[in-house]
Amino acid sequence: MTQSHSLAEVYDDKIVRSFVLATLFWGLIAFIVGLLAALQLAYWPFNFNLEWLTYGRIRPLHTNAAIFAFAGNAIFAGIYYSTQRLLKTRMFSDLLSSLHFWGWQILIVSAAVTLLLGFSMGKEYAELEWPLDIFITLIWVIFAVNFFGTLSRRKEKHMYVAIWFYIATIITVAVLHIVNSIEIPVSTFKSYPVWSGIQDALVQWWYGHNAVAFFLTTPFLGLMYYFIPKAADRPVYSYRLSIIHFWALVFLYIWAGPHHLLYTALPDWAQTLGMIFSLMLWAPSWGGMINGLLTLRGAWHKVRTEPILKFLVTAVTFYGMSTFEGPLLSIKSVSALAHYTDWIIAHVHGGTLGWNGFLTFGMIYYLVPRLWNTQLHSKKLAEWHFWIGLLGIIIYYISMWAAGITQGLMWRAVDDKGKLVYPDFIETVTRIVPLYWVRALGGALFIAGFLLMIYNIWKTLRKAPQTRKEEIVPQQVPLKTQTHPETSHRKLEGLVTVFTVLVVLAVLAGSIIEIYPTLSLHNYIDPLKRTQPYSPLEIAGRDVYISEGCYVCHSQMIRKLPEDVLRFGPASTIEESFYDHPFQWGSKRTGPDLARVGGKYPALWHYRHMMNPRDLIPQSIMPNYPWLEQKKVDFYVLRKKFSVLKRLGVPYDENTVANADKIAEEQAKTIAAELKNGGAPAGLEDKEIVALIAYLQALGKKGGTP
Amino acid sequence: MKQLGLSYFTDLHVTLIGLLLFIVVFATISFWVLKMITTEQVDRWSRLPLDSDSSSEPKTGSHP
Ligand code: HEC
Repeated sequence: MTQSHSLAEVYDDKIVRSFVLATLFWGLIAFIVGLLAALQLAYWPFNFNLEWLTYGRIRPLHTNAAIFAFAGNAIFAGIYYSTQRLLKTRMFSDLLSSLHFWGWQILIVSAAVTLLLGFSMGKEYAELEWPLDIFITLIWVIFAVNFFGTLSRRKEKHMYVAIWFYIATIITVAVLHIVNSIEIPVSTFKSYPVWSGIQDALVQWWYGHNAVAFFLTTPFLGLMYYFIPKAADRPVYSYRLSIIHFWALVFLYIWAGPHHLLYTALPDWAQTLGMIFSLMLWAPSWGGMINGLLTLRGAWHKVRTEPILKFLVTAVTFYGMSTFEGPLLSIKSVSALAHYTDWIIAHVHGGTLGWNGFLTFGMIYYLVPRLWNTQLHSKKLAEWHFWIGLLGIIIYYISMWAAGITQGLMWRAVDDKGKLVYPDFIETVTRIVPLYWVRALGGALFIAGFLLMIYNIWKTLRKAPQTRKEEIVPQQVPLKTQTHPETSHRKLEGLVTVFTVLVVLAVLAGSIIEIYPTLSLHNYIDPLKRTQPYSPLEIAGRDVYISEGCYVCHSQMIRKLPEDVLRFGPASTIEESFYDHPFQWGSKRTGPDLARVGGKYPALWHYRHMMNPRDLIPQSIMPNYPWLEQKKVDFYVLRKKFSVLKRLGVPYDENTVANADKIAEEQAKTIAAELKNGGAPAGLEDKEIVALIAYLQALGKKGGTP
Repeated sequence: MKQLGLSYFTDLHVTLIGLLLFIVVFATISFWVLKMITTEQVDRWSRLPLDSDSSSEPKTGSHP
């Protein structure tokens, strides 16, 4: 913005360099936390019995760090580099660029700290609490203004297809984040989402699936369309195909969310819609993959000698594999087997490690020598990185695939008499624990490769000249309309506006059609007759459940499938979770479903189980929660919580809201007395463990069953 | 009764509008891509990433 045009204008590569280094740094953190999580499933004491290192807290940290810190910084590096060159102009504002950079890093650090401390919304990949949600929005707006500002001062009229993908990313991520994060604060780090139950489920997975689509797919496709032609020194195979790829993808992706909810209480029409659109996604995804791969026509020999191309080509191949597997998993009968198992974890890592990871690595190997005016320290090490990393992914992928299918089959195995062959859930866990070790090995190899990269880049930077030469923006730009700078400017902005509006329409069409019908759901439910809302103490316990991240291992949604009903009881209904802000249906069953655990065991059992699961189930891999016996419940804040919940439509009367703390204390005393009679220590009545037990005992006991 | 209403209620018209929208969008884009833009245009556009190439002969200047 402040660039003087009399001097030769240069591209702002300083910001690209910053984002590249941040990618490497956060990548390392995200991967190591992932490895730690993997090790904990193989051998639970890897949490060192520390509250903030338990699985329920570091798993959200791992996913958020991998998506928003590693992939996020990588996307920004690639976007800042390619956008300037494709539009032949420097970024709109250096100030906004650096606000974007530092804002994002501060956000990541705050996210890491709050997640480990147990501040969580309890919604996957959207765990961050409301102050951070606002901060994310702010940074995203800064990024958007900077990006669209650059578009409006571009010196190349045509927006290359990569730019389209970036625009779609910026617009859609904003819409997704804002809608999914509408929440009402209770305190500095606690809020309740306005959505509840099925509505929340639909909004969450509309968000969750499209976070994959518009954070991990569209921006990376933009990078693919830029960096593969660059690295191969050839234009993209078919530019026409890329245009169709873009529109089909942007239009179709947004509908696919409900495939995360097959066989749940979600109405059938929505499930079918999600499945059909997921299947339709096959076509554009493969169109894109083929387009990427065929760009190398006549240059395949380069792949043999160029590690950069190896990474990029393999990334696109993984894109093809993941987008083949995704629709496959959306077929109802396949989902019946795979949902809640580690097959999904395999699928996700094929996408993140293979597609996002390798594309990022390829891009960084391409960028670093150019950004620092030097040569890569060692091509050979990059080769090694490639092979070790690839081996790691394959081991990861196969082990989780095997674990998922094994466990899925064990869950559904029924003998001639119609009984479950493996009625004890723990049997299905111990069977796959060896595969958790293998997975950890795969992850460790991936990290080993990555460490080679860090070493290689560090050596490269040390060789780099002290005074850098920046690339000059070409001046002789033949913009047809340049004779009238005023009109030309307006015209360029006009194009961007039209394009952006079209993207918004494409994205909103699917979103509204998917979410709108659930807004009328309350017409079908007679609240008071059906589900009793949770008592104050149960809500306090529910907040402990959310804060400890129990939902990353436990579902609360019994599917309409014989094996689920046999094992856990009648299928869950919409009414049962109708007042759940947020819903806790979960997505993975490392432990059993808890939707009907209420009354299954006495309170004392839960107490002992939470203190040390192995006292009762010797082979359990669930963490100990000894601190729940120490930490006190904040009874007083319950009044505030209840007034918020009441405002959100949960049918509490005035008395319950006004006396929430006293009602909770009464209930806590009863449970604590029961525990004490059974031999538990005295004085538990104001501790979190009692609240949690109250909540667990209420699950499935509040009516709303058919 | 309500249960039945819940699991089967359909806003079919909305779904249909969605599908129709998709077909229209897809047809328009395909038409534009295949008929409206010329091969020269497409060639130029697809070369945009390569134009600005600096890797072979870096054009350099100092940072202001
Ligand atoms: C690492 C994954 C993991 C986490 C995190 C986890 N659990 Fe578990 N949970 C399990 C496994 C595995 C079992 C089955 C073995 C057992 O009963 O200990 C289980 C069993 C249970 C059971 C018994 C269910 C039954 O029907 O027998 C309850 C209740 C339970 N967990 C509650 C919780 C709560 C509450 C939290 C959060 C504070 C939590 N779990 C966190 C893995 C986990």
